[in-house]
Amino acid sequence: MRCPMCHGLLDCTGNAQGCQSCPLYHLTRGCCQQLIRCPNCGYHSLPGEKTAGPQVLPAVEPLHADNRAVPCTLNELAVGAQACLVGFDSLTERDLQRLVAYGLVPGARLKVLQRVPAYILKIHETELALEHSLVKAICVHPDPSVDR
Amino acid sequence: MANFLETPQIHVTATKTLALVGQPNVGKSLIFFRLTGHYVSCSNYPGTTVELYRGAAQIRGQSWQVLDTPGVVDLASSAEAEQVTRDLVLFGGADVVLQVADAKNLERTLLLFIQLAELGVPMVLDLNLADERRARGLDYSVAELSQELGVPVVETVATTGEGVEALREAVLEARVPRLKVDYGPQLEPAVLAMEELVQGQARAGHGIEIQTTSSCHCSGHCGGGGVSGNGRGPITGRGLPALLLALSPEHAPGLLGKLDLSPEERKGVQRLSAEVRAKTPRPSYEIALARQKVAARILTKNPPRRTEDRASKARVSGSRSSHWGERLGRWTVHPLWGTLILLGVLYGMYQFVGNLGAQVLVDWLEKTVFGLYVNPALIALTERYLPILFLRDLLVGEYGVLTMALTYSLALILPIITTFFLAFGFLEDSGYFPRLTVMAHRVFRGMGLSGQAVLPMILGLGCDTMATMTTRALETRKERTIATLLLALGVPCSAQLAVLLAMSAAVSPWVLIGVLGSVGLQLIIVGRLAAHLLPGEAAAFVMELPPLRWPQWRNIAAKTRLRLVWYVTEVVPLFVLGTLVLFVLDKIGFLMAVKSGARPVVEGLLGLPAEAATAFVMGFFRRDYGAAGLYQLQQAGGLDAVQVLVSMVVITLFVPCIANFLVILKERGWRTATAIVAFIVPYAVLVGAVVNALVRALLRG
Repeated sequence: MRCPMCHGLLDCTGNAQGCQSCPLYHLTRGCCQQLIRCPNCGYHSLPGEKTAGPQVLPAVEPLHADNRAVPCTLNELAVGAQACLVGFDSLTERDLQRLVAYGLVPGARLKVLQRVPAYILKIHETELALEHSLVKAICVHPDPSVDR
Repeated sequence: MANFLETPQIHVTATKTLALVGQPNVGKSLIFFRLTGHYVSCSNYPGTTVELYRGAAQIRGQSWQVLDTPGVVDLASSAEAEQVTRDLVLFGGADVVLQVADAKNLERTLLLFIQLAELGVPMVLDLNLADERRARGLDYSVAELSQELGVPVVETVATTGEGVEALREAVLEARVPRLKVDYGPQLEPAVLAMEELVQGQARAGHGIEIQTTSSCHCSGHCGGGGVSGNGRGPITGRGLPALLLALSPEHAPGLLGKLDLSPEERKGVQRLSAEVRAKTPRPSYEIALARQKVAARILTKNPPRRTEDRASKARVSGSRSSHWGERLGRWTVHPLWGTLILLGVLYGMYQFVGNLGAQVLVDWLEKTVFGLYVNPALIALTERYLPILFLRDLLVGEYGVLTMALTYSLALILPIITTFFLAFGFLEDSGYFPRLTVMAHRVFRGMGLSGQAVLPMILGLGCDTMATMTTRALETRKERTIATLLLALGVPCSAQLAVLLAMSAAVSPWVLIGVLGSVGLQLIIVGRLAAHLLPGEAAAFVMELPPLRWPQWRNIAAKTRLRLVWYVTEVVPLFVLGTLVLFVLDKIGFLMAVKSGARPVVEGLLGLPAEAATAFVMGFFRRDYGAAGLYQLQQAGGLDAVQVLVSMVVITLFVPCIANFLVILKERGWRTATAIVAFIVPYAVLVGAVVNALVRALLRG
């Protein structure tokens, strides 16, 4: 889901770095399951809360200067882009487990090699082909230091 | 049941057991070969070594039994091949676990290493593919890594044999790793409590029976971490509780059932798992993250460095070809070039298998060798020495075991699958298959399958019986069932394909397009329906793409030999059995009864002459016989263009041959086999009737 305030991407598993940096995360474990804090703007939202006003969709060119600081999903990245994985959006435990086994964990650095006909990314020295449903659920922080 | 690609029988008098465990595509099977001298399948295609291979090795005078396990990404995975590995590590009674890993992928290596290390088994880490690591200019200290992990670490290049001697020696120095993962405030208490419950759980027992007899004679070499020597030591580590927590609620009871626990202990474990799941919805993720932190900590202490720039990289031996492989590898998954390469590969395979194998070699074997020499000699011999007519019929009659089954399996199928296995081995070892899978994934998604099903489906164009056996490599039971159904339903085997091509060529290319269109449509409709109706979930598609490598001809030849041995011992008997059934049915008049019973359906619904019924019934016993029956009917002028179309659609969709049916029975069980046949027979007739009605209405209109 996206933050209703700043439209940044939120990790609903509660495991993103943003969430762990929140002081409430450790104090009120249960609370974090119910309230989601946007790592970008700090706004607390309820799961499923509607975005206020017209929804601003992310730019088509995800590495555009204005959007560099905003986390997005992996499928929004262009070929050649590098990014840092921040978390996962709704995924089954089984799929999540497989991704993690390939080293796709928060903090991992990725590079997009190809988008069509299959999504191929490079992580460490491994090239992985992923289904689009998985790619859409991987939340990343585009690396501002790398130009395409 | 014999193993797929089973190694020749090895008489193991081993005292100790070494289990090779590792991720797919790291050269595990080649290391196995280097250690044992007995070759087994080695490939880039994940899932080839679905079953277990054994060999014997001599290390400094000691006899070791070596086990090769299916590639594993995560021990808590629900994929069946990975479950085999998990059971083997837990219950196989391995004295030493040798993790074979990719030297250039240290982080992933460590993620699996930590899982294995936590089980408390003595380990050795083999960093294979060291040549690829060097070619990429990656460097790290093996000695420091060994120090950090507390186990011997050896670098090898399995293709050349570099480092293998050191690896042998290292097996004797195996130690229980010194690693501890802190699972955090949510999970740690549960792990500790569960550890108490499963403490002392015997490592060998209910899972896989592996014979390891007498005690250890290694004079303490192996005992760094207290190896018991007889491979029956308890699981002392925290790995088992972590595994029980990480497994999904559907799969955890399976593992729990294999542990030797009292009902109270079992209940305790279940209660702890339920408590953890109530607190953290995805414990496996938390556990993986905790392990990843440990891996990251080890890597921070000994970080892999890029030592060379691109210019000096080119000087490293072998890097030129590796660079070339990288570039070609990229092209093979390119939307345009990848498709062209795919078409080229398929065309090349068709020329090699379909032309050289199915035409030239089959013609020579069937007509010359068997037709002129073998069969006449057999008939003459039996006539001379076997006076009983019944037995003579059984051996060399119309449905004779010798004349029909052996001619069919040896003269017709053997040359096709020999050429197929050669081509298959080449593509397998080159690392092209995962790329082919990626290219095919979208098309196959439409049929309720993942791209991995591309192999059985292509193989099905050669022989459906063989192809059904290879559906074992698919990840979930659901996918295996769908692939088996689609193979039986609409993938014509090479023998049938040749007759179909000849028949349509004699009428009009539109007939062929009509047949392919209707059959293709059925594959999509039935595949989609099956994907919706069958229980179970399809695995999301994640495929690792290993670099392209130039295959070694010796490996391909050795693998082809093993696969042919497997074919002769496992598939040929099925052909013989099928022929026997046919012989009996013919003798009791069953064939004639079916033919006359099917007549109303064939004439009324399908608008075909009554003789076509004979062809359809024969098609069950030998698919090409059925097709050939129709061909003869067409040659005699008994079929018009619409009838050719309808009969071709029906015989393609109609039940598989009897050998294929027996394989379905063996692989999927009688329920699935009966269900598949019970579905296909009326469905084929229904589609034929619809095509018949539609085309006739169109022509009239």
